[in-house]
Parts: sequence; C-alpha cells; structure tokens
Amino acid sequence: MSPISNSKKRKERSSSVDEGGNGPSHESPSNHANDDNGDNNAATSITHEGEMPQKKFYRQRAHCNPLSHNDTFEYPLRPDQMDWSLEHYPNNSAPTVLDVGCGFGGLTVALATILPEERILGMEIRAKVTEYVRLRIVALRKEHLGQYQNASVMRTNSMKFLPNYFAKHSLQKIFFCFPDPHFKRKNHPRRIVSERLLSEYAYVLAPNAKLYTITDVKELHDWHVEHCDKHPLFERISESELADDPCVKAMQTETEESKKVDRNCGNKYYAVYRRIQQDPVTVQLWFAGNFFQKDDEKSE
Amino acid sequence: MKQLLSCDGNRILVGLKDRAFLVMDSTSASSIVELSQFPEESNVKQQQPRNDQAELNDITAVALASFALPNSKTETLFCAVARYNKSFAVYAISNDEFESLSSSKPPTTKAPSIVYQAPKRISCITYTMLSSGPELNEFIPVVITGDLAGDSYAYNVLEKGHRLLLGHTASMLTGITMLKHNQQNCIATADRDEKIRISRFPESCLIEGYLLGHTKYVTAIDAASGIAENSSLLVSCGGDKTVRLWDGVKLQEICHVSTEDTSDEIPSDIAINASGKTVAVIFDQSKLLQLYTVKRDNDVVTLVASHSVECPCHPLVITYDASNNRLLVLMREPDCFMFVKICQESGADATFETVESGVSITALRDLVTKESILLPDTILEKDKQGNPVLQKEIETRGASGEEVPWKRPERIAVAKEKQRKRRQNRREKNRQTKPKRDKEEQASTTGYLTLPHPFTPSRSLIQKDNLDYTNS
Repeated sequence: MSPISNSKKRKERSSSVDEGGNGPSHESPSNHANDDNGDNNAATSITHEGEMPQKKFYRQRAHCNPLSHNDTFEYPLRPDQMDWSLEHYPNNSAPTVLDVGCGFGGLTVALATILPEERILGMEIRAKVTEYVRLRIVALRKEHLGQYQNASVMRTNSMKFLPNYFAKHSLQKIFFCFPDPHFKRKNHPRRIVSERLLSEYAYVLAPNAKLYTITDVKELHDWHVEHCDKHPLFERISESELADDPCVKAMQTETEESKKVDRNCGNKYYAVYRRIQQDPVTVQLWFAGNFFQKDDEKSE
Repeated sequence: MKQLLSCDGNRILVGLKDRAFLVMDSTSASSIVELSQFPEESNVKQQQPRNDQAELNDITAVALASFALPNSKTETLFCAVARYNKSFAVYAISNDEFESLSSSKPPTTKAPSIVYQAPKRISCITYTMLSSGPELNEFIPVVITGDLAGDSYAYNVLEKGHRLLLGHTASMLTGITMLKHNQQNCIATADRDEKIRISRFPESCLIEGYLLGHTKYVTAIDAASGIAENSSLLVSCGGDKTVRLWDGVKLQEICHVSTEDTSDEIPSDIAINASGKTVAVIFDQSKLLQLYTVKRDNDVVTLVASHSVECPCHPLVITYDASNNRLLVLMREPDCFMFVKICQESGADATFETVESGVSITALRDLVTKESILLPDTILEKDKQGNPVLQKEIETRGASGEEVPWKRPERIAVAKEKQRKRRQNRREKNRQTKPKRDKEEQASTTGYLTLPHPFTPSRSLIQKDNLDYTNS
C-alpha cells in the first residue's frame, strides 16, 4: 500500500469516528496491514504536505510550564511589522479570532466554517502539536478548495507575546477551551485566565468583543468567573443572549478535549464575557478609601 | 537592577550597600540622617550583620518624595527603602525632626514607620499621588514598586495596605516611572522582555499602550517631568545598546540612537531633564557619562551625542534633580558623588558643568570612608560568567531545523509500538476491573464499558452492568 492510499483510509475514518482510539475493534485489522509497509518509506517526513496527519506521531505531554525561560520563540518587534501572508493567510491581514491553547485544532477548523468572514488563529505552545494542526489545515485546504483559507496556527507563548502580535483593540473573539487547571496553589500564576492577563486581553480585544471560556473542572470554572467578574473591563453575558451564538455550541462539541469529556461522561462549564465599551465613567474609580487591601488579606 | 539614588529638591536619599542615608544639601552646612533598618520596638535586638547577612540587607531601591499631608501645613518627607531580603520600609520625616536628628550627638537614626514584607524582591520604586475621594482635591502619597516576578504593587505610606496593580508575565520589571498621557496619570513599566507598558493609574487594569522597539531587555526608563500639557516624553535604554525617545501621547517611538559609537558597554541608567532636551546615559563598567541633546529640525527629531564627561570613578546611578536643574551621579568610592549642572540658555545649546566638590559631596565622601562602606561594582546583576542576568538564555528546548521529530520517519515504528502498548494496557485495565466498584466510578474512568468489548473474557458481571447504563 502506498502512503497516499493509507492516508485516504485514515481520513475517512477520522471524519466519522472520534480520534483518540475508541477501541481496538475498529483499528486493529488495518494496523496489521500497515505494519509491513510503514518502514519501507523513503520519505523525509512522516506526513507529506497535503496528507491528513495522524495524531499518534504528534503526541506531546499536555502539561508544560508557560513561564519557563528556556523556550525561545520568534516574535515580531511590533504588530505592524508582522507579515501575516508569509505562513498564515493569503492576503496580509491580521487575524480577528484567537483560539488560545488550540491543542489538536478541532475548534480552529470548526470556527473556520462557522465564521467565514473572520480569520481564525490557533495558538499552541507545543511544537509537535502545532505541526499537527498546520498539516491538518493544509490537508483541509487541499481537500476543500477555497475553504479553510481563514484558519491558521502558530507556535507561541500567548501569555508573554500577545502584545507583540496584536495591536490595540484588534480582536473580536478569544477562546480559552479546557485550559490546564494547574491545581497546585503555587502554580496558580500559570493559569491562562488571571487578574494580570485579563488586562492584556482587554487591551487586544475590541470594545464589545467576546471572551469565551469552557472547562470541565468546576474549581477552574469558579476561578474564571470570579476573576472575570472582578475585572472592571469585562461583564458577563447571560445565557439568553448566548442562545443564538454558534461559537458556544462549537466550543462545547468541536474540541478534542470536549469529545474526551463526553466519552468520560463529565460536565462542561462555560462562561462568556463581553469587553465593555471603554468609557472612563464606567471603569470604577479608585480612591484612598477603597483602593488598598488590608495587609492581612492575601491577594489571590 | 538597583535604584540607589533619589532626590526631591535639596533632599537626597542614597542607598549605600546596606545603609540608607538622607542628605540635606545646602550651601552652608550639610546634614545627614541615617535611616535604620529595624523599627523602634526591635532596636534592642539589632546586631551587627555578619558577612553573608550583609548581602541580604543590601538595598535594592530607594525613593523619596515630599508631600504636604491634608491635615498639616508643613511638608513631610516620605522615604521608601527596599532591600534584598524582600523587606520594604517607609519612613516619614518632617523638616524639624530632620534638623533635630542630624544635629544630635551621637547621631541618632530614624526608624521606619511601616515595614512591609513584599512577596518578591523589589527592583524599582516610584511615588505618585492618589485622590482621597471623588470631588475632593486632596491627595495621599502612594508608593508603586516593581518586583522580580513582573508584578507591580501599590503600597500605602500612611497605614498598612497594599494592592496588586499589574503584572508582566514572568518577566522582571527593570524600571518604573509615572507619565502623563492625555492628561491621565499613567504608570510606565519596563521589563526584561523588551516591552514598556503604559497603564493608567489608578485604574491599572486599563492598558493605554505598549512601547515596543527594543530588541533586548530594557535597563532603565525615565520620563520628562516638566513638559507642556499636550505632550510627554519618555526615554529608555537597553541591552541592545540603544537609547530611544518615545512620545507619551501617540505611544510611539520618536527616534533612537545607538550608543555603540560612544561606548562598547551596555547603558545601565538614564535620566532626562524636565524640559526634555537633554538626556544623560551612564554605562556599565565604564567611566563615561554621555549626554545627548534632542534636536528638533522641522518636525524631524533626533538624538545627537553632545558631551561626554569622564567621571573620576565608575558611575553607578544617575538621577535628575528638577528644582536645581542638575544631574546627580552616584559613583564608586572614593569619590562617590558628583553633580552635573545643566545651564540652558534659550536659543543656545546647553552647557554642562561638573561639580565635584561641595558641602554635601564632601560629607558623603567622609561618611563612606569613615564607615568603610563598599559600593557595588555594578548595578546590573551578573552571573558567574560575567553576563548580565537579564539576558535571556539562548538554548532552545528540543530539536530544530532538520531534526524536528516530524521529519524523522524512524519515529513511525516507535509511535506504532507505543500505541500498541497503550492499547494493551487499556485492555489489561478493563479486564482487571473489579466487579465491586461503583457504577459511577466505572463509567467515569473507563469509557470503554459503554461499548460491547469483544476481547473481554466472559465476566458476566461486567457485561450485565454494561447493559444497565449504556445509554444513560
């Protein structure tokens, strides 16, 4: 069997069945058949451009330290110096929807069809997983001509470099789907939604833009709600207003992590916030009386 | 990064190793008061610090400001001193108290009024004012600190209280100053990731903008304090050996100049005068003090190197004294201290006059010699190889280029083997599931029980449980 017919088989299966190994009954017969031919490939890479990649070659440990100083990333000096046409979108225009921690790219490619007018960017810190998403998007672009031109992925640390990529008030939506909960108290500063980082998200989000969070860990959901409510620049959107928002449904069903939660019969908790219209009067004014915490109160 | 010098009018606060001194500078006599480390109650427990403890007590940052409190007519001096051991002390001295303390023999030290324990070591401090209430015209002084975790806190100087203002993720703050942007009071914070963030104060969650342009860590920033209402200037220097001038209104870079023409070393501290026409830069491990003039030429603004001053000893810190229009330079021993007067005639270029002797200068020098205080080599912390600690490590995690994992086909066999083992383990786990476990437990950990499993040996108990909650 040549590599091309292999990939066709995998693609058919991947669109109908959940990826991630449901049970040996589905995949073992073909696995035995593939075994004898796999090592004879004189290919320079495991997946060719245009082939849908297989997850098993791109697995990487889920938890990593985003605050580490050992990773080096390439990032532009300023947002206006970033050339988006090189690797990302055909015309040089900046993305408007961000999927932070996109993982294997389920939500990114789903949003590309739901929001055809916006440009979706997935950000992921792990190299192998970013490569998987990139190959997936290339394969989808090839298979569906004309579609998926507005989806792309980038390997970067969004906690540190968001202001380098995006100008003030340039994003319409940000998604935080099933972020790493970092349960230990000493690791709480690594959480992606925190008091400090919400100010940065408020800076890159346009007025009235939306911030979506979803998680299966109740404690993390309470943390998200507590911090977003406390932040003066975000206000919660009620359930009734979210009824006709297709992104909420996508966030709950299209990500790989949400499918895993479904398999394990877990609960999903989500919250959507709006970045308020920036008006000096609406931002609460601080004075000597209410500004300081007493010293015995612990800050987060 | 150390901020060891601060001044307000004729009062200078200087941090020498682990001792802080407040100097009143006047032409006739000079008086010095030492600010002690411990509050009054624990005076009896004071011991002479051992050698390694002296390191912990070293001062990392000082700041001075004078405010007339709402209920008093005289001005009170507020001194903030931050040390290596994360302690942060605030001293409140009125003018009369200063006189009495400095003239008493033997000289008594002033104890702190409030001592805070900061979560991380503080690297830079500045003062600002916070309104006491809506519609009120009264203000209270507030200290704003930047620490090594990238967080900025505001501390109350009148009673104990603090607040987290903002945070730069995992990047230490190297400089902090107040700035005016569209008539709003703003904080400018510079960090190791080449960013200078301008956030409003006191609503510090609102970011006005980022000043991006440095290609390496920023070492120091300063804002011009006396410009016209509709403009503001900020100047910064960094590890990329450039000095950049920023427009505080448009939040953009105006111009920059490379300091490599004048010195090979990294610029470590910077000061700009009140009118924003002169910029002074000192370099790490170098005796050079370089002065730049801001030239405006039909809307084109450039920084031009104008004067260089060779200091008698290595300069460590430089700060601008607005009321006397001069630069204060703290140097290593034995000379320790120097002024540079800026004489600006309208129309003509500025001229500079170094003042190396004077009442307060001599007083400080005598103090340093008498107490045998050793000033640090450099304010940029260095590691064992002599590289600045602020420099980011170059090592990349993992492979790059042609060795990336997805370009190596031999991984195909490895990945298949791993998948096979993973499936085997899952099968083992399913087989060994004890029948006594709760139904919910079984459902949540192994999702495979929802499908009929052809390879499970006929344990009728498990299969029966399957059928009960398959479609729940």
